[in-house]
Amino acid sequence: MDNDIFWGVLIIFFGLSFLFYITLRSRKIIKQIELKRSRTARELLEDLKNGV
Amino acid sequence: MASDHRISSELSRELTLFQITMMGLGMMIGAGVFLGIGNAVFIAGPGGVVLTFVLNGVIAIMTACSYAELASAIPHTGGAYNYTRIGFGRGTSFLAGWMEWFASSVAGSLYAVTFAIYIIRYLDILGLISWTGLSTPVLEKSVAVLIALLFVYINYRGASETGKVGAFFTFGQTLFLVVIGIVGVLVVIKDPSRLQNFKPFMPNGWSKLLVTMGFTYVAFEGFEVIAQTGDEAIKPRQNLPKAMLYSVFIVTLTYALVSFAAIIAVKAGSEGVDKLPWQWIGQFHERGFGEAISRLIPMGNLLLTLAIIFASTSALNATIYSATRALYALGRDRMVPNKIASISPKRKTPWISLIFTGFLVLSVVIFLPVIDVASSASMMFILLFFLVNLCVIRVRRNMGDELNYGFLMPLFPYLPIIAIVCQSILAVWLHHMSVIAWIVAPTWIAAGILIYYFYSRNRTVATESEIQVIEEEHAPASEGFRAMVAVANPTNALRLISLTRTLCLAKQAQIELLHMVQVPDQMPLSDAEEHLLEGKEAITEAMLYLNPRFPIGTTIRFCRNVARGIVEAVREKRSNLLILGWHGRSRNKVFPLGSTINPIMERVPCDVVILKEVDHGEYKNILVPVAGGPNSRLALEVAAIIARGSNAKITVLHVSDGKKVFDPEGLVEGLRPQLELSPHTIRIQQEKSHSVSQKILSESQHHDLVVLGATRQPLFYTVTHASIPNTVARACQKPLILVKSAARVESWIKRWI
Repeated sequence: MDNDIFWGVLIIFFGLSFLFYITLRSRKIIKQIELKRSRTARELLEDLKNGV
Repeated sequence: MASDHRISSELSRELTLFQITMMGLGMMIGAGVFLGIGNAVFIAGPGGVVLTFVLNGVIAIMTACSYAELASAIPHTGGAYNYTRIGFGRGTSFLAGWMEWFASSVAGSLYAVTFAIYIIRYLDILGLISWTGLSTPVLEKSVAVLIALLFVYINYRGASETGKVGAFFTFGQTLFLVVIGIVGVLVVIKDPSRLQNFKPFMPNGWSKLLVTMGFTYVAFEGFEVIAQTGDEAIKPRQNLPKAMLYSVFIVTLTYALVSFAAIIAVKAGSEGVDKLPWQWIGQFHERGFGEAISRLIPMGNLLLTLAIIFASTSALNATIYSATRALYALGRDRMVPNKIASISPKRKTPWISLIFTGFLVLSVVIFLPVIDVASSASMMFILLFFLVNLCVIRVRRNMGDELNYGFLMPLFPYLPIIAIVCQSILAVWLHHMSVIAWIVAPTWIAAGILIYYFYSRNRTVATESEIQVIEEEHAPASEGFRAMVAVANPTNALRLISLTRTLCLAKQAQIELLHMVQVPDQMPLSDAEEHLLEGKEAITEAMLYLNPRFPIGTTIRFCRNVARGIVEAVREKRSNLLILGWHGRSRNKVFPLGSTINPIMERVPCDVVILKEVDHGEYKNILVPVAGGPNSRLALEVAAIIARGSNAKITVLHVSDGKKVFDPEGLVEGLRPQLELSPHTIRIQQEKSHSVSQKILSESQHHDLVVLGATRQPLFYTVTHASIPNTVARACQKPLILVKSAARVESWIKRWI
């Protein structure tokens, strides 16, 4: 039974952390893209990869 | 002077990030959480219910990323229907629209049922239903049918609570749930023994989690309604993705907190609790959440019922118009008979689509049990999201070089692939919850495929806007003085233009004529031009009059709310002056100058000139009541421009009530160089009276035009306190010009400091 609680709490922790990570990361990407207007997906990916 | 003879049509972008996030939340916090918690506790146990919402949030955010990326690249009304059309073509697009119509309608049924269950539960607690002699299920079905019918009618009328008011309602509901969650946490801090309620954590095994996740997945379907606002959101490429992700994030945290609070709300061994707390909550099924929360907070039953009334009715309203739009789009593109896209000549709403939607909503309410309604809605949304996740991969692979993206999801393509796998598992596991959902959903899809092959395939029309996106256009910042004239009708247009001509000659202005066309929520803005063309005559007439004299731009803008539309237009075009006509009446106590003029004056970031009964005639005696402040100065400036054109005399009137000292001579002397008037043109008159507005009104009888500065008080203040300018403006029998300078309404605090 305690095993279930351990795994349950661990899943909740990682689940919420994942949500938090995706939301913050996406927010950052939107900001980065906003600075490079009118660019296509490929160009943007290149830039994001190169940290431009 | 160069002139532009084109009349352009625009869609008004009025919805802010906050509003579209709240629209998404409003659609999510409707039923899934209220009905889902009791059933999820019964099936998966106390730990399972919290895990259900957290894991569903994880899957939902993956799909939200897909929606967000597509919405940022194709920010156009239509949602999944539009994306699949671009990604896969018309066949899949038809299927997406067909599923969306069903999913939204069934979700609407679920919200109607939720409303009914909790209303009847509350009336039962008050002992108000026993006299009917009817069983609870019959009463619930009856109330659900009535509320669904009411909202079908409200949608026919074209009324909606989307936008600002709706956003605040949703904010209130979310806040209420967050407060429940926080109270739960506080209770546990005070009494840690309540954590024992989580033992056993997963009494029925981990596999039950998949059943409850599938069943409650409908509580995460709000991003479709956000995607629908592509034509109306401000900065859609940035705000749509943000709103989708934020809404899932907020809703998951809220659900996790609330489900935690529901479990610890019941104290083991307390009065009436003869089982383990989770078993006690679970035995009530759909009502379990209500029973638990009523033990957590004082007046829990009443507060919860109120929250559910707001939550389920706003979600019901949103789903009915979302479903109506989906069917309307299918009819418009001739994928189903074109007649279905007919617009009511009176209400301008797609009434036949609405009738079919209402029929579907009512059929599901009447014939399906609540578990099957929720499962069918979840199932259809899962399948729809499945398509969208496939679509995002295909669109980026095939069209990544053609589309402009405002957001690119991280971990591509793993997120959509994981979402597809997880959603497939949830869909399969849903048969444990409802076999009917597994019959209804595939039957609906099969019927859709048959309709497409035997009817739609050969009739579908190519839409011109498969990829076309309506972009926001901003006027260049470094041009001269820009005046915007909001024209309501041909009569009003000519009246406005007479004075506009005088004012604009003095300012060397570039004029933008604007006609706002209000579009009911049930019709996409992008289709409005086809159905709502009255107003073009006014614009054309006005343009012909002004065209030889000024550089002129003319625009028809389709909007949801005229006031918000005008304010956004002024912001986008960076106008320096806004000129409006006013009929002089207001039937609304909250808005002394009317529900359009007041919000505009409160929010517009430029000078405003409002004309009441001002016509082509020349004015010889102009009265300018002054009391100091920027609006008095602007009133004098406007009066001077008119006086210069018609050799008129200006009377600057200051009426003192003895409370405030003001020197009108100082004001006039300070402004004299700007006014460019000979000294004998302006006469200063000072009066004393205990009723300032009455004195101004009596003086106005001896003049043929009154130019008045608007109140500087914020709108909420004028609701409770009579304002002199508002009283004079409403009661004045002579032509009147009300002006407000661009200086923003000062707060009490700022003025006090």
